[in-house]
Amino acid sequence: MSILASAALVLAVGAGLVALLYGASLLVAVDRSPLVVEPFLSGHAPTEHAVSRFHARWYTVSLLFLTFDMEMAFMYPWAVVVADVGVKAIVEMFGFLAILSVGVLYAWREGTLRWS
Amino acid sequence: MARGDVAVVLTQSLRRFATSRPHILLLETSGGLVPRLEVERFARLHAWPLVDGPADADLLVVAGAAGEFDPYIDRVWNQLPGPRARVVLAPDDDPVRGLQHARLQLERPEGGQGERRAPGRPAASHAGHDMGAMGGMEMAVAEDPHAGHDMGAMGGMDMPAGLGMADRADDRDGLKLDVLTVPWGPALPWWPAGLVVTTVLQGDVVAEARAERLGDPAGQAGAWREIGSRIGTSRGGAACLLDSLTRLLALAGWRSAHLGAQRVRDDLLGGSDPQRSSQRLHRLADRVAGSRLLAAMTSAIPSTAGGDVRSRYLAWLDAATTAVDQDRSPAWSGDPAAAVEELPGLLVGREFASARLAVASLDPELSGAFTAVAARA
Repeated sequence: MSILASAALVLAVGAGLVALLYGASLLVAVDRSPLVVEPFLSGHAPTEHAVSRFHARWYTVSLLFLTFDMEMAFMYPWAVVVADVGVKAIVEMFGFLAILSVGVLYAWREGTLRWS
Repeated sequence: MARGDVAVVLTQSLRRFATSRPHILLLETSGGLVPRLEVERFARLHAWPLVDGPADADLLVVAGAAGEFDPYIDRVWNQLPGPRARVVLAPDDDPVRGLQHARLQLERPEGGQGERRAPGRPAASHAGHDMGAMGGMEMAVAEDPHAGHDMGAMGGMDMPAGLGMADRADDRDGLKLDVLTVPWGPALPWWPAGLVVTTVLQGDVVAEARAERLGDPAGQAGAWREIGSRIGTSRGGAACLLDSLTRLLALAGWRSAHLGAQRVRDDLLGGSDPQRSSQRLHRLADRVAGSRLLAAMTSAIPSTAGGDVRSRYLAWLDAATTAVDQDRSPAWSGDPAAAVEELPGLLVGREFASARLAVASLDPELSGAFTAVAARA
């Protein structure tokens, strides 16, 4: 079978399964629309909206992002050549990752990943 | 119509399968001790799960008289998705029959949907009941997070469901976090009957707490004493301590030990062979006391009398095993009013889960089963 035909087959099977699920749900659903209720506060009425805004520690989160971004930048070319270079490349990359993980551990201990 | 028949047949068979083991939301009110113990035993024997909230529940079971708990129970009933059924078990009702009857109600095609009150305050009635949720979502997406303070000044805009946004205040780390009022109880599973703790949460941490009691606080103490006079004070007292332990284990998430503790408690309450009960109790005590994960979870949470939650459950196990082995009433005493007094002090500054474990660790005192008078009797 040509690639186009097999791709079309996979798409058709996927779409068919999804349609089957939706159809089954339409047939046996208790109600068409989902239930809209207040939040569960042990039987009390809510006194304010609980759209709680979390305090994202932007400075430290950016540092973490940069760490992994730079790591990605090095790993992309490495992934292409590692099979040819062999064990030496693997050992070097894991050394690099170990140094980075020390930094991540430090950030973790400093409370970067806490959000309350 | 053929297609309609297929739908009906599918729906009916699925419904019968789905309601074979309905999920129970078990709420205890005043006078509900004996029905609650019966329902827990029935649920354990028939593998009907006891759930933590209305979203997961099929049956709402109220153990005890509704009375002044009615508005709270009604609101929780409103939050159960269909199909649903409701049972109120007074102390002298037959719980097994009530539960079976409720399950049959679930199976019927009309499925006991009942009337639903639309969510949202009556004051915002012109917004309509589906505007309430839609409006809330639109507001959350569209608004600038830093304009939180100005929400009140925009007088023309209608608040979703009539509720304002949460105000922000300094928390213990000096961050500005939302202030949320979250009441715990009375209609909460795995919770002492009639206790209402109104907490103010910032993030995950309890910033303020206020505790009070609804209903008849002396009622539960009386019920335990009645059980004790029926099966003997040693077994009754041990069963009371084990009851507190089952609740703590359920909250801690250790399901198998929780079921084991329920089994031993029901053994003691059902009057089985004392030798076997003692053996099972010792095995349970070794298992729970030896768990390092539970110890690590609970040893940093302060509880009453300067101890922590770990020392509390060890003390319960100790007192229960001694009581059953030596066949005398457990050496325990406590004042429910004093326990309610010191509760806020234990909760402030704790994280949510730790705070719930702290409340669970106060249990035999909160129920008043071992007041100083009873222990001497």
